[in-house]
Amino acid sequence: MNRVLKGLADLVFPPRCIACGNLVTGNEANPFCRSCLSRVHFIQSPLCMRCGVPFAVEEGRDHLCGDCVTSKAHFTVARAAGRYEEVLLDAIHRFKYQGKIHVGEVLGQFMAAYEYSSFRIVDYTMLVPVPLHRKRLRERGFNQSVILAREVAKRHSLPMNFAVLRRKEWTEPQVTLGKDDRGANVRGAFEVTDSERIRDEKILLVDDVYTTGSTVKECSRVLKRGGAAEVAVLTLARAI
Amino acid sequence: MLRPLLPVLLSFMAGITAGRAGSFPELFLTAALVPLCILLLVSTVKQWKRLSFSAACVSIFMLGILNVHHDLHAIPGAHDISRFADGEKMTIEGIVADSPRVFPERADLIIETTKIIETRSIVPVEGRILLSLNDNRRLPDYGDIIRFKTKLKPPRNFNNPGGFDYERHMSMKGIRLRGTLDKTGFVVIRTGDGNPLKIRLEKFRNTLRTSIRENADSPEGEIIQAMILGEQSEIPREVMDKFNQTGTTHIIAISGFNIGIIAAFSFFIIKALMKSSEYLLLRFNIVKVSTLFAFIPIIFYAFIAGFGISVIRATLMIAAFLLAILFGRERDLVNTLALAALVILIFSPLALFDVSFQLSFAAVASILFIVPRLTAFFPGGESDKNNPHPYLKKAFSGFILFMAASLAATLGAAPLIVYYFNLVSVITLLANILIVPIMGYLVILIGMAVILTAPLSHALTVVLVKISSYLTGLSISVADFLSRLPNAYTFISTPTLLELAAYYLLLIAVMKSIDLWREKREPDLPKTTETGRALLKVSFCILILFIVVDGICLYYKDRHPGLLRTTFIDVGQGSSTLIDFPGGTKMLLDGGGFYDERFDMGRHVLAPFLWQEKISRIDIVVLSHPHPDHLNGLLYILEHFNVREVWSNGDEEDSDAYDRFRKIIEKKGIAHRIMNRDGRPVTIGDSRIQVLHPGGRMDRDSLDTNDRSLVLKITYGVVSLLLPGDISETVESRLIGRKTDLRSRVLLAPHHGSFRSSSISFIKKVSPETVIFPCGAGNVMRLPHPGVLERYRHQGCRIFRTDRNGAVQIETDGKEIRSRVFRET
Repeated sequence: MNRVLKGLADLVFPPRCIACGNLVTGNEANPFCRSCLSRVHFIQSPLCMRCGVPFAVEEGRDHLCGDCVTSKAHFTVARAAGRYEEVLLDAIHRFKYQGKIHVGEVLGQFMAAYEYSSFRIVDYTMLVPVPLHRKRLRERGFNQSVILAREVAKRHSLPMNFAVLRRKEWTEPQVTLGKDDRGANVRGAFEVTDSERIRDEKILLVDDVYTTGSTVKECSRVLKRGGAAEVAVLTLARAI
Repeated sequence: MLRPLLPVLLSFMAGITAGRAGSFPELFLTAALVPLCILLLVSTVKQWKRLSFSAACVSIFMLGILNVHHDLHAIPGAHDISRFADGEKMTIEGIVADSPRVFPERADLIIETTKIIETRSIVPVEGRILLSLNDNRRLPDYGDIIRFKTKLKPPRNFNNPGGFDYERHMSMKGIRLRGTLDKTGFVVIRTGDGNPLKIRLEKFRNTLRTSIRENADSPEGEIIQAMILGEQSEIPREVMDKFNQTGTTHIIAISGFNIGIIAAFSFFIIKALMKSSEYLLLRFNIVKVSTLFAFIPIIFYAFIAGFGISVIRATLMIAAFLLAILFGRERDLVNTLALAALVILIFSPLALFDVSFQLSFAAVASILFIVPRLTAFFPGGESDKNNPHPYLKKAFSGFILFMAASLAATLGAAPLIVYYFNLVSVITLLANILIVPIMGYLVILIGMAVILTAPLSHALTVVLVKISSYLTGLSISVADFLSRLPNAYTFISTPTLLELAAYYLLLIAVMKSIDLWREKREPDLPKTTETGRALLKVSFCILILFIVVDGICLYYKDRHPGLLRTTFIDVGQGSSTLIDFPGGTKMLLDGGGFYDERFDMGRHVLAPFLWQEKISRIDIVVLSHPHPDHLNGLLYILEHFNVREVWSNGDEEDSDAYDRFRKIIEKKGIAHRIMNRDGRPVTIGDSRIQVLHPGGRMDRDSLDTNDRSLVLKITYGVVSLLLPGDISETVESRLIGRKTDLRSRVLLAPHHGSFRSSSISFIKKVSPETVIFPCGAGNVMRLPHPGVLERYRHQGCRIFRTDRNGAVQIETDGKEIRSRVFRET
């Protein structure tokens, strides 16, 4: 039934590339047109076993990167589907700043279906999107992480909880800050509203972009302290 | 396949056009669909793409034919009222099938007839009729069963080239007969015999109508009523003209624009409400939820606006766009527009030929096509972090978008407005920028509020109506001021379909050139293919060639050296003749007209005909004598055409029409020449115009108005035409007595073929080959008289009648004459 509906919708409202907006030709259910798809940089092995940063070499085995060897993080593993560049960056901007929720849904589906290196979404028991501050939420009208997480939850039949983690402090947008200020900026900005709900859960934290990891690191810290058994991070894109 | 609905829509439209144009064997078409569908199925399964595409297009084309065919070419059943109507007065009973359409000085009812009441029996009948009431103060309601007396006649056209096809217009509405209510009025037999929901809706609409009209003056009240209840007919002609002349009528008519505003407003209200709850924001996709809720007010509004065909169309169009947002596919609006058109055409195929349908879709299509290209000149849609005034920038780009959309809509709709209304408005853009925000946004939204408050609070309703009345008044003043500016608008002649096509091709070619220009500057954009570039070059070559050829054709059509062309125009009961001299001088002799001023012959018949003939300048307007059936139609022509001089016999009539005639001539500074037989003949090129009658003072004292008609004889080469106005045999014998050379090969029958004119001796003296009777079908004077027709026939004349032949054109090169009629009998 759903397939029939989707077929009809394709006939009436033909799909368009979520990055460039051109009509998508061909039958495969792909969110990007052919030319854009070739310019998406997928993240593959070899990469850092923990933070997921890809290494610049062609071949080789996964191992820890320099940062992860020296510093400790509260999440066990972080993965992203593609580099935060070109096409994927355009699509995320379209979604976040132009309010195209539909683009976010398609990106979420793409994120849910991607095969990550030595990581499986179904190993976790609960999805938690990175929350927005109320003020930012009102301004934007939606939380991009919730939209992505919802698609992942649907695909893998996992529970998603957007209320358990809350952003209590208003902070400057991370994009305006340099690498060193980011950690301090978000410190103490999050709180767990109901620690009963996360007790002994293996939590997968979902966000749109992993830049320096300050936000997700702070969230994992709070979640871990609130009683979560394990926290992992899944983002759509990753800045390299 | 890119935009799969476009070929579907085009095939369907082609089918509808073919189905309207001709008659097809329905059974054969239906049978042919079966193998086609099998072919379609097989080719789809086998993935023969070309074949399945063609099969789909052909089947859709045939479905298009079938869709329109049945309605249009259906044969009336045995009980249809048209089988009983004989033009005599009869007593009829029927149900009022829709709420009355009220005009400033009359009202129209659509009646679903049930029985004809004869002296001894009752005949059951069926079928719709249009009943006009000359008194609009007491009207029946929807669902009333009424009994009335009327003479039913089929609707009739004025059969001139470029004339409005009223007969087809009525048959599209399923009406084959019309009548005017007899003086005895109507009796309501029973009430409440309609759809109970519609009756309640009409009651509510009545309340709204009353509260609007009681609290707003005229014409503001009528305009608000049009915008909320969808009833435009009561707006006074002069006020409507102001909006037409400024190109802002689309706001008053319930169009996709109005419904779009309501949808957008509801969408933003609901979105703002949802934003107050963090939970709702996180739990739901607020865009989709708000879109879903936006359906409610537009459907509600469609009902309040009477759920007429044009309202349904506008609602469907907006609904398609909402649906696209719901499916998250809002980017491909072209396909969405095609969907809206397709759905509308499936349910009312004849909408394709409706002006409002064409205007709406042309406007929206060109907005979708042109706006992205125009806004490309103003870069910076992305949010710029370093801009100190983000709101200012947002407001600026909003304004640019509004301007671009207005310009695009105007560019797309203008050729159709010229084609149908012959109007070019220079101030459209300015007028829209000023009036759209007031009327399109504020008055519409206050109107929605009025609908909500009407059942709740009387005081609030009054206040709201007063506010919108004030705003409407403001808009009327703006429209009035703008339309009075010099050269604010002009009337131009009707373009041919080829010229329209050339305009749209030019528009597309210019836009595609903008694409090419942008590609040079921004290397990221997808490149136009080589074929595309070649096509563009070819288009420009074709356009240049077309402009040259069309210009030459137009020049020859206007000047036609060596040919004198005379057209006897069908103006019903009355007379109007256009004489087009070799070299291009144009003379209009009389303008027809009815005795009451309800129907403006000039506006509705003469002007469209002249514009169709590419005429917007008349050198000489001649009034043979100031009777309404010769004078009234001229008024509109004098006012709206470029007229150099007016000839008359100098008679003045004590009537409103003659007063206006004099005032227009004075105001526009047109030369007025009083003609009589003592003057010298006028020569125009190689043609000669002689005035044979009337003479000086003696004629003025001894003859009546008809007999003082100007009698003109026009000679070109060896061919003469005699145009004797409404003279009777008295004048005929005087002309013979004076030994005037009356011999003419073409004669306009004096006084529409009256028994007292066309004496045998006159006919013998003139000895015409061809006689034209200017008369209306079924006129009360029963002209032309059968005896007169017989007299001409006896003399071996060829007879044409404007009531049967429509417009009659006689063309001569000075030696031979050739005749052409609009309709063969």
